[in-house]
This record gives sequence, C-alpha cells and structure tokens, in this order.
Amino acid sequence: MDAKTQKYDRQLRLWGGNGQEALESAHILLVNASPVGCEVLKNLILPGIGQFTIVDAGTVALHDVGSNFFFDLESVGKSRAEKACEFLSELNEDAKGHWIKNDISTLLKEKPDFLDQFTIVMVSEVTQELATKIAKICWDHGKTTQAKKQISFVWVRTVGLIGAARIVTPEHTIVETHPDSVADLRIDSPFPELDAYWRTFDFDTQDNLEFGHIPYVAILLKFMDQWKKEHNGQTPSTYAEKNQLKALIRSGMRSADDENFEEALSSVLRSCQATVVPSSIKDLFSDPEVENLTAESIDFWVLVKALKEFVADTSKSAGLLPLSGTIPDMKAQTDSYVKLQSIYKAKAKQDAQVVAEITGRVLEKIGRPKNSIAFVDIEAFCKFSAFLKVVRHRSLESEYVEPKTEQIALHLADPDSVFVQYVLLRASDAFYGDHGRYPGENESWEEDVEHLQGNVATLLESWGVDKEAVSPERVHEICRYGMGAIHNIASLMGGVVSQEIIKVITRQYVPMNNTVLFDGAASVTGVFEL
Amino acid sequence: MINIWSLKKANANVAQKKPKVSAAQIRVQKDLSELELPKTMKTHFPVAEDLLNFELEISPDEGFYAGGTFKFSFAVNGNYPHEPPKVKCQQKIYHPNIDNDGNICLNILREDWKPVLTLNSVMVGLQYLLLEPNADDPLNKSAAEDLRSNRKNFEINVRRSLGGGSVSGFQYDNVLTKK
Amino acid sequence: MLTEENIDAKRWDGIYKLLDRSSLIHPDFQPIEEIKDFVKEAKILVIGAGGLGCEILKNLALSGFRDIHVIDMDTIDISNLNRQFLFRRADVGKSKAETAATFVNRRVQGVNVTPHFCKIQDKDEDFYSEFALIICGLDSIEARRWINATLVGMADPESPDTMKPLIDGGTEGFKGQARVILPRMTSCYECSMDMLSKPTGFPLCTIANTPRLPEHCIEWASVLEWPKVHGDRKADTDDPKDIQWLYETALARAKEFNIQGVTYSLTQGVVKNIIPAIASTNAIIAASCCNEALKIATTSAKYLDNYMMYTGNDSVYTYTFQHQRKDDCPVCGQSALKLEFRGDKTLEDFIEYLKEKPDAQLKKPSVAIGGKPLYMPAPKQLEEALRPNLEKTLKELLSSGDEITITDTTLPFSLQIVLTLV
Repeated sequence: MDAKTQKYDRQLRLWGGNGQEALESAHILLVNASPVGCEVLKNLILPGIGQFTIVDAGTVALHDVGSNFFFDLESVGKSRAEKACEFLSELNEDAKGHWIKNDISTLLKEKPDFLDQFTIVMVSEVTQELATKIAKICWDHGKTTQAKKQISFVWVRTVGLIGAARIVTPEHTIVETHPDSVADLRIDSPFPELDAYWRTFDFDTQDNLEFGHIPYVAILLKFMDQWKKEHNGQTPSTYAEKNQLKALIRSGMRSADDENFEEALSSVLRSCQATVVPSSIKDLFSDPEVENLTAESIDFWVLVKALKEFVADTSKSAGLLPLSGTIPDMKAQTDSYVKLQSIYKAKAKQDAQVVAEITGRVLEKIGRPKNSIAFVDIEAFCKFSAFLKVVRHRSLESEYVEPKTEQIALHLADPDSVFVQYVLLRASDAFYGDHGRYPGENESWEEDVEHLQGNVATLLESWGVDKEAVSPERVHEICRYGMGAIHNIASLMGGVVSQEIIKVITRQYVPMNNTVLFDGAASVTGVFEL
Repeated sequence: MINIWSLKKANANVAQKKPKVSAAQIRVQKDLSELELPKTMKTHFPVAEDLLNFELEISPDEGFYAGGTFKFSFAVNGNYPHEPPKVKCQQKIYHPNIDNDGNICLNILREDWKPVLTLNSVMVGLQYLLLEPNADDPLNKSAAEDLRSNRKNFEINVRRSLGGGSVSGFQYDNVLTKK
Repeated sequence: MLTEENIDAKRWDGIYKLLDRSSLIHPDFQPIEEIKDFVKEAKILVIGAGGLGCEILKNLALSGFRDIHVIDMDTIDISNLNRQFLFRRADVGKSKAETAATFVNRRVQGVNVTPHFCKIQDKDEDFYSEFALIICGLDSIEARRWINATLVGMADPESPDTMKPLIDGGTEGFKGQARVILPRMTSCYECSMDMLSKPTGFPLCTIANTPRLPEHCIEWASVLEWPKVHGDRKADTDDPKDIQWLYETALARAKEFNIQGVTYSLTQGVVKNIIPAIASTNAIIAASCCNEALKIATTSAKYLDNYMMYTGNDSVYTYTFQHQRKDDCPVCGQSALKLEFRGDKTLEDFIEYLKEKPDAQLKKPSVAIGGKPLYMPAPKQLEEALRPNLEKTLKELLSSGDEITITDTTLPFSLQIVLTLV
C-alpha cells in the first residue's frame, strides 16, 4: 500500500478512489480568513483538497488570535490572508495554498472572471449585500456555461452561540447516494434464470444439512410461486394474505429452528412489496433536462434518458429499473450462494449492457460519440439507479426577493424551532443596513435591543407573519452575543460545512438543501429550504 | 455546575482509594454466585482470587458423550458482557461442532451473543452441544458427516475417540471420566 | 500600552461578551468576574489525543482554559494524518499526547497543556479528582466504560466536589454523538450500552465450512488459520507483514471457494475493526463537546441534557434528547452504602448481618473486594475454596475504608459498601 493510500485510508473507506480524485481536483476560494472559514479549510486540506485560495485585505487583530487557531500572538498586525495560508498549508503537503491580500470587491472589479477558476466559493464575515453579489456571479456562471462548470456558493457565519450556513448549487446530481442497501431481489417477479434456480432445490429429498442450507431467496421464490399459482398469479397484498404466505413457508419447515426459513420469514413483508420504479425516479424521467437533452447536457441526464427508454422497453426490462446485482448474505452452502450471486450479477450486467446500447443511441442523437460514456460508469449508474438524486438549491437572490412565506410561518409556529435564529440574523443584517454596524458590538449593547426589535418586526411584517413570533428575550440574546466569534461554534460550523462541501465535490452522499442553522445554547440544528 | 463547585479549589488531601472494580468484574461475580449447575457440571478456579479465568468440566450422564469428562476454558475480558466470554475446549475431542483445535461452534458464543445472557447460559449451551451434537452446522466436517450418514458408526467413533483412540487417522485425547 | 487584562479582553472578545453580559434566556446566569478566573484556573482533562482529542485540545485552548491535561497511550500512525491535525509526517511513531501538547502550547500562547503518555488505568482516583471536568474522545468501548465507572464511583452525592462532569464524544464516518454525563445525576455511559451496535462475529461453522463473503475468508485466516500456523503468537495488526500473511491466506481461501472481493484494505479493515474517520465529523463532535464544557464551566447558557446525535449522510440531521437513566444500570444504578462494623467480628457474622438487615434482606450474598472474592455461595468449588474466609475476622481480610462489592439475587445489580471497621 503506498504512502498516500495509507494516509487517506480512513476516508477512502467512505468515498473511495473516485471521490478522492474529485477532491484532489477541486479548488476552493475563501473570502475572509474568519475563524469558521479557516476551520472549513482545515477540514478540506486534511483530506487532500487540490488547492485553496484565501482572499482577505485585513490584518490580524487580537480577537482573531483568540478565535482562530491559524493565527498566533506573533501574527498580530500581519496579513490575515498570508498568515492563515501559511499555517493552513502546514496541514498537508498535498494541498496547494494561495493567498491574495486584497478586498474581494476590488479584486472582482479588476478581474471580473476571478471566480471562474473555483469549484467552491465560500464567503464569511461579509455583509448581506456583498454575499448576494458574489452568490449572483456564481449563479449566473452556472447558468451561462455548461452545467458541469458550475460554481457552488457557500455563505457561513457565526454570531456568539449561533451558526448558519447557506449553500447554493444550482443543480447537483448524485449517483452514489450511499443508501443502506441496494439489494433488489425480485421475489415477486423473478427473471427466468432466477426462476430456474430455485427449482434446482428438491425440498423433499434433500438431507437435513442441505435442507438447512437452502438459500432463503430460493425458499421465498418457491413458496411465492406456490402462492401465486393458488391466487391467479397475484402476489399477497393484504396483511392477512402476507400472513398466509408466512404460514405456507412455516409449513415447509422440518424443525422449528431452521435458520434459513427464519430468514425467509423475516423477509416476507419486504418481498411482497411489488418491485416498481420509485416515484422519485419517475420524476427524473419527466425532468426538463431529459426532455431537452443537448450535446451540452451532463452525462447524468444522458443516462437518465437512456434509463427512461430502458424502462419503457418492457420486452427487455419488464418495466423495471436495471437490476443492482447485489444480494445480502444468507445462510447457504458456498456453492449455492455463489451460484445465486452470479445469477443476479449476470442479469445486472445484461441490463447494463442494454442501457449502454441505448446510451450509445442517445449520445449519437445529440451529436456526441456513442462511446463517450465509459461502460463502468453506466454500470455504476444502473446499480444505484433506484437511488439517484438531484438537489436544486434556490438562488440567494430569490430567497430575498420571493420568500417562502407559508413555510416560514410554519417554522415560526413551532416554538422549539431553531428557525428563529434565521430571523434574528436577517434582522441583524437589516440593522447593519441602518447603522453600519451589527447589534451588540459596542459596550452599550443593550441599547441596540430596541432597534433590532424594530428590524425583526419589519421583517416579520414583510412576510405577513405575526410580529410576536420572535420573543424579546431572543432579540436581547443575540445583542448579548454582539457578533462575537466563539471558536467552538466556528469549529462546529466548520465541520458541518466541510461535510457538505465534501458531499458536493465528491458527488457522493446527499447535501442539505439549503440552509443549516445551529443553536449552541440548545445544541440543536435545523435544515430549511429557503 | 459552577455553583456545585462553588468556585473553590479542590481539596488536595483526598484519602487514597483503591482502584474501582470494573462493571465486568461485578457482573462476573454476580453470574458466578448465581450459577445453578447440575451435578454433571463443575467449575475449577486455578486461582480462587481470579474470577475472570476458570475451567468448566462437563461429564454428561446421557447421550453419545456419556462417560467422558470434558474440560472447557473460560476467559472473560473487560468488555464483558458487551462481548461474550472466550471459551475453548481443552482436549482434542471428536465432535461435529468442536474442531481439533478446541474451537466451538455455538451461536451464543459469537453471532447470537447478547449482554442479557450469562455465564450460566453459556454453560447450559455447552452441555446441550454434548447431548445433542448438531450435524447441520459442522466445524468438524467428517464427524458431522458420520453423524448424518450413520449414527451407529458415529457412536462407535465417539466411543473410540473418548478412550484416546483415533478416528480417520487423527488421534484424540483420552477423556474418560476417572473413577 | 496594553496591559495583560487589556490584551485578554480583546483576545477573548467573543467569549467575554458571553461572560460579561446577562441573559434573559438564561436568567440564572450571573456575569461575575470570578467566572473568567475560573476558566483560567480550572483543570480540565482530555482523554484521548486522536481525531477528537486534537480538536478538543485546540477548542479548549481557544475557549480560554489554560490548565489542560491530556492522556493517551498511543503513538502516531501515518493513517492518523488525514484528521489529527496537530501531527505531521515527521511525528510518526512519537507519543500523541506529548506531540499534541507541544503543538498547542506553541500555537496558543498562555495555555499550558500537560501530556500523560500512559493508559488511563495507570492513573488513580487522586489523579482524576483534581479535575473540574473531563472530556473523552476515545474509540474504545472498554476505556469509556472504565472512566465512566471510575467517575461514577468517585461521585459522592454528599460532597459536590466529587462529581466530575464527563463529556463524551464519538464518531463514525459522517455520523457522531456528543453527550454530557453528570455522574449519579444523569444517565451514564453504561446505561446506554444497549444503543451500541453489537460486535460483529460470524458463525464459526460458516467461517470453517460455508464461507460466502470475503469477510468470512478473512475471519477464517485470522481466527482459525493463524493460531494453527503461528501457535501462541498473536497477529500484530499494526505489522504489515502479519496483515500481508492474513491477506494472502484469505485470498487463497477465497479463490478456492470462488469468492470475490478479498483485498488488502478489506483485510486490514476486518482484522483491525477499522472505523472510517474524517476531520469534518471529528470537528463537529469535538466542538459540540467543548461548547458544552464551556457552558457547564461558566453557566453562561444551559448545557446539553444530555445526548446529541449527528448524521451527515443524507442532508444534516441532529437528534437531541434526554437519555434516561437505567435503574438497574450496573454502574450508576448500584446502591452505595456506608457501614460501620466491628473489625473483630468474622466475615460470617457480617454476612449474617447483611441477611438480617431489614433494608437489605439479602438471601445468598457474595462478597468481593477489588474484584477478588472473599466469599461466594456458588459455584461449589469456589465456595469450598473460600469457606475458610468465613471464620476469619474482618480485620484480617480487609482494611477500614475498603469498598466491598456485594451481589445477590435480590439486588438489581450489586451493592457497594464502604466499610469502616470499629
């Protein structure tokens, strides 16, 4: 095992070589070397992100030293961008760090396409106005270029014990969502090879050893077949019918503790569920991206289109998704298990080959070479086809211009919801608009409570929500925090946001949609689609 | 909590205390003192002060293995009862579920172990294995094969093995009960 | 000129706002100067200097704690470097506790981290009683059970100083949990043992005769084949040579049975029971633990009561709840009792007394001290071996102040008695 594999062993077990490769090709921008921003970078540099760039015009102050591990007392007065880059670079020689001592607004004026080079643009310690501006550049970039060149935007901040992060990725498609199990056994609708398989077991003449090792899949298939014969080809649907099937299986046991029969019995309910195309996948079939496929479309949508045609060709697919080809462990002799496994695998391969043929035709139709998607990728796509996922975040602009007032009212109706912190952060932004500073920053912090209360009321009114929805105690509390940075909260949010960024970059697991809030007083989080 | 500590510095002179007994040790003490063993089973503690390592002797009075005395070693670790005790057969015996190295295929010793089970459950399980060897989940494949195909022959082989004879070219330990 | 206080006020601006200002949400909080002094002076113990431990040390130092101790028996391995950010490639092989302490002391001026390069079991109650609170970042169930039992055992409800809050964190992949244990007040680690997934173990007969998964072949190599070939020498799972042997042996078996999927990495994963670990999740859980530590130490906001689970696989999901104490918990559910008894009386007299004592009413008590039995009513052989102790006086068997453990069918678990001989 090479040194790099050894170093990354504990994470490769999560996202594998392809995830690691994606991470190593990514470049993240951090605007402002805030405590939380540097914590996010730390958690991305350690697992080996390709490059990072820090843009910050400021110099290190004492309060930075007390809240950010990547400054020390000797850093005071030096460039925040340079110093943070230096200390962060020490974490991993594989990650390349860059720093620019400049203000992002000035930088964007000088170089309007500055952001184009990044996979992720993350901002913190910025005003709402600046965040919105940068978010829009990223959003428009994704709309005007090929979708594969999207820039994901992240805004993360902490105020006292509160943390918040917003992610904007216009469209995020995932094949490897990492479901708990991808087993797809087709007990209700066995394909011919599977049907032939269970018939090779003679339930009457086998000796006890062999009988005790008949794979439960064969047991289920046999008794399901019998049940169907007795019920006009129907599978059990009601609870009573499923119990009848169980009783039938039980009647076939030789002793009360045949483990393989126990396994079969405990799988009856799941196996009676008809194998169908999940509604979430049907929704993808009718997605505009599939309807309007072009040469610029990403592979994901090309494959969804092929999948749709595969399902439509019932002579080949029986109207079902391609088989995953994975089976769980079960009590069985080695030979019969390996045989069963190879039957499922062969069928999965066969399905994937059909999908590959269709994919070739689809590619040609949109003017791409017919082999331009590798077969291994098609195979993986088929294997996880029941769990494909598309996450589309709303733009930051629409969050402000077209607020989802109904949902907001619902969140605020729940007195325990962490959503109230969103209102307070938004009101604080409005306060900044009025005063050019954030509430509670000064010694006379309690004087800000009333002003902020006014900002809260205005905001709630604009949503048509009850003005009392946010208690005065809570307004007082955020003034108490006074925009102070507390390292624990920065570190926690740094962990949360870096997990999300890893999910976005690797295209594995499912990122949140679209705002996460953390209240460090109550130790709770909440995710809200705003 | 600061009120509980009342902002005082901890009193430096705390009396020297002995190390705490672990939850595993207490649980073993409880399990052992509540053992209800039939006459056919006996425990043996090489060091009476060490409750975590001991032997169990089973002398079945019926079944294929009647007339023999079988020794099992028990080793309980600090993670008991989260983890099962490690049990091995001390002698080479001819048994479908015990291999020639003393490994035992008993579900509650591995995949089906639960913390609510006790040392008593394990001992009862071992005795059951001697009374009713299970040919369908073999560890000693040829012994299981014998049991399945020809019970009479299996019985003869067991008899021979108990006296220290060999079966299929492998010599077993003499485990006949000493009178 | 900036005075030290001035520097402190600016440096800890974020935290001091929290500590200097009153709260309407936490009306009990009194923003007094002593709290800041307490943070500076309180001794905090960190158990484990691994993935969580490195984060915890950083977080405590940046919370303003200055007297921090860390204990870890491990040395640095190359596979730690993807998350244990206080270590570099050149540190491989060095003590984790010492390397981490040196790093934090250098980076965060004013803090004093004291390393202890040893096992937690090497330290006695005197050591643990010096700390205001203890934060655990461990990957071992056994070590957690030990420290939990030790702290619960030390807690004397009549003497609040003996209650050491224990904050425990754990992670696996994108998931983790943080919890606050107030010994004898809230549920303890042992109370929640049933929430743990049970250790995997495949049936021995499957491994021996009907392997189906690559894992079965690997277990065959390590459980059955290794002792046959290597005798009493245990496989060293940190030695690439031993892993290579297990891998090759497992691979040969897999070939024989037409099983696919045995790799070096899987072999290592199975025999070392490797749990995937990343920096992000450690950051979340460690920060949550330290956030609770700061809140508990300062009372500036309410603390976690008492369990938070975090899952990042599918979106972000946390579940914060109160885990209930178990009445029959072997550790915190056991009754503790202080008794005086005449030292010239025999053990038999004492056992008779326990049987007759109206609030005990024991039937067949067993008596042990420090894990060693004094008398056991069963099994027979042990009873016979220990019977002579019945005639001995308590003075001969133990010293005044010793803690003895009683079990009996009538007790939910056990009874601890601190016995003073008079």
